[in-house]
Amino acid sequence: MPGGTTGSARKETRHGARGIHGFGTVGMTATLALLGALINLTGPGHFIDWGFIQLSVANFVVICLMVVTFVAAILLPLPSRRSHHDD
Amino acid sequence: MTISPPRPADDSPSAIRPEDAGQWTAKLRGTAVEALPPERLLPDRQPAYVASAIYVFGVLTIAALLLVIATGMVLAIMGPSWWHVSSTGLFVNSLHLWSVEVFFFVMVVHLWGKFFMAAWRGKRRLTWITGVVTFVVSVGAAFTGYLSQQNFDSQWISTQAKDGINSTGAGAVFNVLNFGQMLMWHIVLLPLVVVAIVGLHVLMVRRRGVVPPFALDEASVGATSATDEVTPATVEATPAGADTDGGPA
Repeated sequence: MPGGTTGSARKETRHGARGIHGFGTVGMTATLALLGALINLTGPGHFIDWGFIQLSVANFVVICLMVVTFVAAILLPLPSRRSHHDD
Repeated sequence: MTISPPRPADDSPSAIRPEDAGQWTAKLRGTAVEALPPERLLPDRQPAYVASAIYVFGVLTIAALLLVIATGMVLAIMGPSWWHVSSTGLFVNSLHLWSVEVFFFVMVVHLWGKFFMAAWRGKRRLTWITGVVTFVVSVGAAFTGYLSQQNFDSQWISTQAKDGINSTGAGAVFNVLNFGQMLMWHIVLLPLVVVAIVGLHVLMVRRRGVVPPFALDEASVGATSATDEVTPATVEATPAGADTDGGPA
């Protein structure tokens, strides 16, 4: 029925899709499908080949994340309870 | 039945009666308490320079290691048929994998931070060396873990690795195709070594203190020991609540 939802469908949405554990199977499946659509993990992996340096793209991404984390840890201030000392 | 004489006037737990001073237990206790007095082992305050995010990664590494060990114990109890088939088993197996990923991630950031701080300064050589050894042994622990998965992935890794291992000559005693051997290395030998060295590493951090920044280190020139830790006037103590490096330094 276009433009509307029947009472039984509403009930199914409230109880069937959410399931008894809150998030529900449908929500979980949709989330996984969304994540899977972002990165295609089907097929052979991708590799970087710079002369004698050969590494997978996945490892390269992790290394880049570590560098970003390292720089952020140095530059960003650490939250502190300074107000406690300012009293 | 021997009745113990009354304790000496100094009734502290580490007090040694004169007549017991020659015993190895008394000597060991005295040495341990002198090297790591309780207030240094569990300090309430830290130098101000520790209040930086770069000091967080040591204790993050330990947190990840604890999760690795906890999930590994569950996997050991339940077995491969559980971790490959049941949804809970798959979840715990994934927790084990991803906690290892986090462990190495934060350990590498920690290593970079300490490298650029030259964290071996101030009689902290053993602290640095135990950290390096932990890293190397952890690589072995992870490798044997991948060999212990009981799936096609572990078969692929082992058959690829055997040639490399054999070319070093180590294949005679470390056979990556021997599942039982690899499993024992993974769940007994290497975890024991990692935990022991990490424990020593943390004790060394507590004994020598967290390495100070370069400028403060220069200000401390003349200190008789690194344990006198940098107490220049420029350094303010900070509450232990902001202590971010209970771990490797």
